[in-house]
Amino acid sequence: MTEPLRAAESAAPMMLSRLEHLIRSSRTYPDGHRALQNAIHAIGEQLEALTGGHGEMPVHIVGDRILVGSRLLRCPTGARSSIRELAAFFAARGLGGVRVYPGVRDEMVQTFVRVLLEFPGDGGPGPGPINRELQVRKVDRLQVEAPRAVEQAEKVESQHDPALISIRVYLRALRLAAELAEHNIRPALRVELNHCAHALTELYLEAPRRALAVARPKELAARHLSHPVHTAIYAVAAGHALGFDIASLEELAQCALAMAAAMEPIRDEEEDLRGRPPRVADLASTAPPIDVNGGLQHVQGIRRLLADNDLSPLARRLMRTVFEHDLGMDHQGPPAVLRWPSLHVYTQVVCAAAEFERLLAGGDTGRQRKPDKAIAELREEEGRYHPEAVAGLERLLPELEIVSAYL
Amino acid sequence: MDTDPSPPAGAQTPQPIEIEIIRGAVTRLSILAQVLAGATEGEPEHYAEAFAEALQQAMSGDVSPATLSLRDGLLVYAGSEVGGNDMVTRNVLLALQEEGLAALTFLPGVEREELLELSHMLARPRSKEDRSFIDAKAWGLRFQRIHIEGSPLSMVTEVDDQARPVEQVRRLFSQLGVTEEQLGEGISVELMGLLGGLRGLADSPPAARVSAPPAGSTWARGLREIRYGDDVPDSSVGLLAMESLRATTDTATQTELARLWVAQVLRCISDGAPLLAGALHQRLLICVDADYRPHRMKSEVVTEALRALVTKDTRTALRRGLTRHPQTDDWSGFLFTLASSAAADDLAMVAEIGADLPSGPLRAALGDGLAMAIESAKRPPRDLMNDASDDALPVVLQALGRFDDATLVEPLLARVQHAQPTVREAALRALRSHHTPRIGVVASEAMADVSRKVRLEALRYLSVYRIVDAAPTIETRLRGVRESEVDADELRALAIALVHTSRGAAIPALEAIVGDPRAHAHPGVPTAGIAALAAAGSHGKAALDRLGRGHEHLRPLLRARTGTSKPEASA
Repeated sequence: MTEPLRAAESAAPMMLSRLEHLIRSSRTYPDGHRALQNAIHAIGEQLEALTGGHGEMPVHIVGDRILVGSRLLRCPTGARSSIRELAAFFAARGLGGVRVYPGVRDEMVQTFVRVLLEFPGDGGPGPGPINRELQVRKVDRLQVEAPRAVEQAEKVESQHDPALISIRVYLRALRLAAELAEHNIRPALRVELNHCAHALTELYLEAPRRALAVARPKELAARHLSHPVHTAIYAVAAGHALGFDIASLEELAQCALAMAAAMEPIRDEEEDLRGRPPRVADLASTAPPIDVNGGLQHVQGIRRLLADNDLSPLARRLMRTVFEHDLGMDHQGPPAVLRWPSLHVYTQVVCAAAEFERLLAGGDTGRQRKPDKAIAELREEEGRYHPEAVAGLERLLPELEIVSAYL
Repeated sequence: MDTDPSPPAGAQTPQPIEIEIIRGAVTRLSILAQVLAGATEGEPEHYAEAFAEALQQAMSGDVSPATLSLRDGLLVYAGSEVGGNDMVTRNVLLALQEEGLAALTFLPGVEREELLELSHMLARPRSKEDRSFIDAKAWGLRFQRIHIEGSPLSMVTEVDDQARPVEQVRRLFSQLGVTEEQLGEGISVELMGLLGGLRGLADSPPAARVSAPPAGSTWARGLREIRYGDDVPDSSVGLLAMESLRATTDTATQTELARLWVAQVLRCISDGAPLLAGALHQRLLICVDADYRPHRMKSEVVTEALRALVTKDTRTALRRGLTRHPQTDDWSGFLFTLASSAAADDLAMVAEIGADLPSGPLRAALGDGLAMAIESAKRPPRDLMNDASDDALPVVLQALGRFDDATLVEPLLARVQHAQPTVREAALRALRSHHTPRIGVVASEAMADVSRKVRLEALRYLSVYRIVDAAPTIETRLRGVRESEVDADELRALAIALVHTSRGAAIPALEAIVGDPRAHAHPGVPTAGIAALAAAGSHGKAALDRLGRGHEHLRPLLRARTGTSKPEASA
């Protein structure tokens, strides 16, 4: 790889991240404000690095990747959220990226951002009218581009051992599950939840077979920790088969991982696979627990997830999916609710994935099912699981067969 | 791709932190590192405090999270390098990179103590033997609002034929700060086996792109709702509150959960989310309603938790929430319900919650709710007035305005002499539903109050009840009032009150005041007088005709008033 190309690849994420920051700041500060000048100057350096040694350089945002010329890069961790914001901003205007020519001056950057902000984010107008407006305002070194597909892109891979990376992602998710199972949620843990979900989704999308191998039942891992992590992987796989986009897949994984907050550790006396005999106190109780199912305590989940007073849309989603996890499409499962709307779209996938995982791992009885048998059992529970979610899981069977041949 | 829903009108969106604040914090961190290493003299706590204070202040506002990423020895915030050029910072950053720091995120509301702890962790002196992993260290500290993202360290994850799987898995455990006791005895053995299996697993192609769910399908509809944030609406959160309370199996859990849900209501008020606060509060009230509460629900627990809403914290939260979400329409329903559902012992406190509300729809909503609660409590309204603090009085008086009780008149008249203008105004407002000569006298006196709102309220009373005795006083005031004393609105109210209180008899006098510049001191009197005469029926119109004929200098004002300034438009 040439030196200019390496410099361009290094500058692209910084430039995009800075551009997003500048767009946000430009909504607050007037032109010429010191806060904007610093931001514009910083972008100028990165634009220079992008075009050094090249006549022009197109930079596109494609999902969670950055396409610099024809090379597809991964977003750096710190810049991921801002680049996503920028992608949403671009998408709302029918854009996919920018094309940079050598010789961009600071005032051009300011005008470029102002022109972008003049167009409302209602799905249009695409690059044509914006580029014409830029030409009129004498900004000829920066152009916007239409969204691009990446079929011909050359992937830039890391030097790390993919197998070890997979184990690291898995261990990190287990660590999160352990924390959620023992402590209330806190804002920093929500960020970790987000990052873990992202890593699991990436793992599946890049190497589905490796991800499914990681999710194989492990006898020595604590069940209340491995169940949410494995469910997250199967849910991502099912969601992908159903056509969910990356953002939805990550949220799906978050909903599955959040289940750890409601999981109750299995006590030693209950680990007897034949099940323990009922105690007199259990039989005599006039108010049997209507909340608990298979170690999942729905109320405990809500209690833990409420602890940091977050009622943002994502936080609500986590609570709702945890609470209705066992309800089933027919609303016959616990907890008994009086009136409840239809299940959340994520719940429909997560609960099918969780049951699939439970059957593979043996669940309460310890009798492990083969994947095809597990699917058949899911199909038998007509009305409880969404048939398309089960069909999505069924599409994993060939891959699971290959995985089991190796492991 | 769908766009994110735009915030409601009037809502303030979080702003990014300025880069200079981050640069300043990094500089302080660098000085702290020098002091801790003994290279510079000074008190480490001083620099740690400076680091923590600057960031804590910046993050206490309505800001978005700030993420700093560390790559190739450079610390980057929002795309810009913030590490600076000094060697100490560079060395600290290189050490952090070796320890596996990839990104550092400060979340809004981060506490000073956490920042202090972080500053010492980042800037501590390191020896060559001291090899620790920052991810594991930070994980053990359980930061509330600081997130540290570890990178897959080269020593751990690079292809390393020399290291055995057992060693690699052991390093992963220490890098992430986890133990077998936490995850399950023997799991490391399984992971070693898995590592070997994964390395031998035939490469699979990346997951093929699958087309999006067909438009109109359950999935497409559901995903669209999610993109627009409509998948868990406020009503569903309310339902979740009620059903989760119902699903509890023991009183202790129910008590804690009820307390948590009530805390959410308070948080919603503070965050300026009145509709969500209302949705939650409404469901919690159903939980305590004798007729409608769900089967097996223990209402006492929820009732007790709900009392936490009637405290001074709610007053503070309301003040904050109103600045974030100023649309009064959204708040009215919630405030009415909050007040109307108050227990008999909490009535005065409910009134105190509204102490900072200006007179208008919000205070009216709270007052109306309080009036309903007073009726339910079967408590004499007068008692509440006697017990209420000065802060609570405006809302109490607002509520008492709803009672047609003659015994309230004298106490209300006494409050017209109160030291606080908001109380005087509220007392006059509460007297709107009563009509006695004494009130007329007091209202006439209140016309000279120092507070404009009190004067306007007094004028309103005199106008509505046509208090004839007040007409001479009003006329005198209209003649003598100066520009520095009243504004145009009050002047117009004075002129209208003159016509009303005199029952039309003062029209000639008003005509004379308007026509003669020597008869008034305020230059706005002619405009106000013309407005009052225009609304005074045929006699008023006749007076305006005469003024137009007799006083040329008034004709522009008259044309502006009668809309004849643009004849072509009317034609």
